[in-house]
Amino acid sequence: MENNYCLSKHISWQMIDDSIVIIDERTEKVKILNESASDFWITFIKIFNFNEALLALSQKYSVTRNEIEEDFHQLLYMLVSNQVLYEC
Amino acid sequence: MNANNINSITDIYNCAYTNKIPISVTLELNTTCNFRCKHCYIPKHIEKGLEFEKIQMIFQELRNLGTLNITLTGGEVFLRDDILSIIEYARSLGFRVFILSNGSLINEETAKELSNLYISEFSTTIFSMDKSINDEITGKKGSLNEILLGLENLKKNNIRVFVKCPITNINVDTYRDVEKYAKDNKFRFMISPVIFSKIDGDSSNLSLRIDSIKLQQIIEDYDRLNCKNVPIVKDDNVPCTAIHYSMFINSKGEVYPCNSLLSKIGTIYESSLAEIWNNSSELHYLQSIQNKNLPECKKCGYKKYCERCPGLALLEDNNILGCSSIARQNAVARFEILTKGGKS
Repeated sequence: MENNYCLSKHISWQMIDDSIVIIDERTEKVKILNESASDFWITFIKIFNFNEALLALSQKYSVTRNEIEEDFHQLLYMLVSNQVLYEC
Repeated sequence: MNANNINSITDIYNCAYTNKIPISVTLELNTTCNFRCKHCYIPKHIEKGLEFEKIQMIFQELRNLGTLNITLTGGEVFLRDDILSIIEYARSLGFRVFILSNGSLINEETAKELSNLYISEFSTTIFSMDKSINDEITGKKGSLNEILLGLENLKKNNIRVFVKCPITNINVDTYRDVEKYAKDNKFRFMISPVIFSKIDGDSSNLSLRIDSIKLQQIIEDYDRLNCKNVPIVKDDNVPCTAIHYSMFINSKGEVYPCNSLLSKIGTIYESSLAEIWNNSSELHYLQSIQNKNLPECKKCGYKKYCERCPGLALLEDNNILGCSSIARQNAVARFEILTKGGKS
């Protein structure tokens, strides 16, 4: 899962009180991302490429890619499983 | 409330209220309309609205301010050639999009496009399932058929539809047929016993309001149908929570706390929306009003039955801190029902 991703058309979102709120318009279910996941989202939503987002975040946090890759891989997996994002 | 506690749409409103975020913004795209509804609060149907580029700028500003919900209203918004582009742009930024429209211009193709854009809800108005009554209010022959066809197209495309029925003395005996139609089609439904004066102060349309006897039946149904039309943030200390998380921008770019509270807080040509939201002294004054500042309400025996709107108090009774006569009338009707079983 390291290719490009797109935001599903049925998703609405906004940052509210420093957290990303995601709404699935098909069901009106609401999902909240925690602080680090919100940070990932803000970076990712501009480029929609996992590798590039990881690189940007590792630079931002001054850590190696390996240190954050697994966590963000899990997040990406969750977002794809929940049909928030899809490979494109 | 902070974002960590958000589990539902209602929680989002509560979080916005706590954090003073304009989570819901209504944008009037035009006042031109193909109907001439007798009760309409718009005095003249002549404004074609802001240009698309200006609307794009507004949307960008609102994203940065934390807005999530955009409600597009008119006039009739589908008279604009660029309406689908406006919705598409709003959706591309992540907004939830709510549409207020008479529904008469929704053909199969438009409904399909709206479905592909995943709008959150399409709100419309039906006055009566009796063609002659509906047409009498809308001022357009064949309006009921046009609306029903539009709603059928929306339903086929799985779009959430919300049917509203303002009650006037013309349709007061037929609105339950509209309720049945909405129920049969699984559309959300509400009635409203309040007809607003026109926003230029012309109150001639208030002659359409129902009499006090019929009002009791309407209030009973209003309560039965739980007609709150948005997730309401509850705070017993303030007369209106909505002005803490919403804004209204009219078709000329003037900004108000909402379309019922016509106390101008700025214009998009003089200030950014962030400046208006954060610095408007008028808005801050309105937001500072608490129930303890309403002298008439404090001593009113009908207070617990009342759904006072500060905007209506200002528009019709010329005092934002005073009694809203229409709210009081409705509260008296509710009191009579609950305590005496009603007059009729």
